[in-house]
Amino acid sequence: MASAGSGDEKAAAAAMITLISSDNEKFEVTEATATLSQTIRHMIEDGCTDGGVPLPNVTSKILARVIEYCKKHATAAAGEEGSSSSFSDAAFLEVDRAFLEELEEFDDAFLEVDRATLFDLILAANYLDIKGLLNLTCQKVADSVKGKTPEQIREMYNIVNDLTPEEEAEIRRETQWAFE
Amino acid sequence: MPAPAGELPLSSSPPLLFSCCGFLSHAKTLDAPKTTNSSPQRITEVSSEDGGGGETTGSAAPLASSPLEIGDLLAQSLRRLPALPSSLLRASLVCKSWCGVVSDPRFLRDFQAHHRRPPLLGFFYHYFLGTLGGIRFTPILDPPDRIPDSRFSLRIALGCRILRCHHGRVLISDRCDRSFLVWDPITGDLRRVPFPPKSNSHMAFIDGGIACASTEQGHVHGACHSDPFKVIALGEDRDRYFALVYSSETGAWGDLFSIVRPVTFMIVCPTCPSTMLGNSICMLLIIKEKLAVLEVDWVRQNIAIIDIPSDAFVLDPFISDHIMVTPTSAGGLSLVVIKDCSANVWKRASSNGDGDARWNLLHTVELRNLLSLVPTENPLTLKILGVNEDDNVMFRSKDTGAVFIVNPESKKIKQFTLKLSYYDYYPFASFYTPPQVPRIYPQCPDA
Repeated sequence: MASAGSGDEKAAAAAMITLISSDNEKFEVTEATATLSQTIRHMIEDGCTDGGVPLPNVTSKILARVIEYCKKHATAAAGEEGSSSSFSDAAFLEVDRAFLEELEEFDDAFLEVDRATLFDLILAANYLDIKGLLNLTCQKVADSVKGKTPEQIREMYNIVNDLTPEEEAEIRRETQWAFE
Repeated sequence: MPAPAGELPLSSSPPLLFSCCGFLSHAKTLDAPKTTNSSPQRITEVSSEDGGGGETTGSAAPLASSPLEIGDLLAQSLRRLPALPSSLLRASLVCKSWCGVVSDPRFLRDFQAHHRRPPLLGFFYHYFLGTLGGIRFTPILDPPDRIPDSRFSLRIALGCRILRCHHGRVLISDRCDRSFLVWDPITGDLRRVPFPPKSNSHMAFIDGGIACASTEQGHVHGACHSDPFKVIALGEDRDRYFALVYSSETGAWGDLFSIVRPVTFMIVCPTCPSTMLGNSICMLLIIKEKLAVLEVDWVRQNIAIIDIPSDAFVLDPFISDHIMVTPTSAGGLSLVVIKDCSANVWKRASSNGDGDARWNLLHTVELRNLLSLVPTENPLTLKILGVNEDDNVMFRSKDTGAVFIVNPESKKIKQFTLKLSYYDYYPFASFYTPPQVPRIYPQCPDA
């Protein structure tokens, strides 16, 4: 699980960044992991990470999941970095393909969360500007809406229909086939 | 344990109440019961079952809102809906804010850019009954994406014929009225463009093309309703093949450009559909016992005749709907030739100068086994219907009416349940955008 707090791995080799959640929990992560977030990348570039990076919009529970995602994907992005089993040149393509498959499995498993967590992950991914995580979580929302009727969507997300009957009729005009 | 595709686990979902105008803040109670039907005023957060680094969903947690109440995040999610007609129509009927997002032109641009290619919606064909003529539609998608024939039919005069569908528009030639008709089936917009004036009595228009002329950066064709367009008229007279380009922006035809016909016995293949690829229209020419491609580049205003090697085809001027010029992913030319229920794909090797480019047999796609076609005595049982917007070639079995598409490069095949009869069919691909009703729906402020 998210052993995000353990900063002992490769501590000598990699620069470490401390992230502080809204509930004041500290997470030590490598710079490679942290810079998947464009927000944090810019802070590092500006030299504002001494003493830790406070993230007042992200709870420790969500931050742990976000770090779990970033660790995995930072390994993918950097190749040999962050992983002791670095790719040899000869088997690079094969390993790369296998790793991409593993990454897909990881993403699928990662998305097995309840809706509240999914929503919090979207908000965190947006706030931290982590493109891959935002794409992944938004796709999950799109998949949940796909094929549903407006009534089913409203029920699923407890949305109040505030369209007037006239407005509904205007939309349905010539498009009734899409609702049957 | 994966949930079914397309489903979020509902059992532990928090009931979030929101409407378009204002969402309740995302308060959290730890001891609330896990139920999806609790009072709508009560908002519950359930801890993630698979845990995290620190389980502290207590009062220290910040008040977060649902991403679906933030226009930009809602747009980012809805952009990923399938590019099918019902997707955005259904989303637009959820509430005002959803409607505002999906009918925002910026959203539609992003949606189209995300999907890159419009989906194939179906086929147009002509019908004539007595003195009545018209264009009808055969949908190819299943409900709720199945657009009824009545939504997409057009009454036209006898003597009209469809030339092609491209970039979400249908180009029709009306010989009696000496004009082209440019029809946008989704908006219903119909415009008449008179043929260019004749400079000699032998001039005849033999084909035409239609293309979106949007110069917007990142524009993806497929719902180019309000964008300018160009019509390309192709014609011939005794001595030459020629073309002219009409611009909807200027409302006028440009200058004529032409190529001299090298030999007199040369006709445009009457049953081969021509192809629009990139900035060119390609037609097949029969030159004595040979075939050639007439390539009309309407942007560079250049016409070329490209020989096809005689071992690439069996010439039959009366049954030639088994050969078609197709685009390649690299922007070059290829040729699909049906031969005994297999499709030979010939590719033109690029060359720096004209003339010495060579055609090479790229591969053969065996269709009989893949499609479980019934063996037949007639080797020519397949008709090429045309090239779709995604560069796939569409075929129809003359025996069974079955329709399928083949990607000539990847050899991937997709078969449809649809059966088509003997008409000429024109594949129509387009995004289906929700009706634009800005006077009712203000744009979402965050989108």
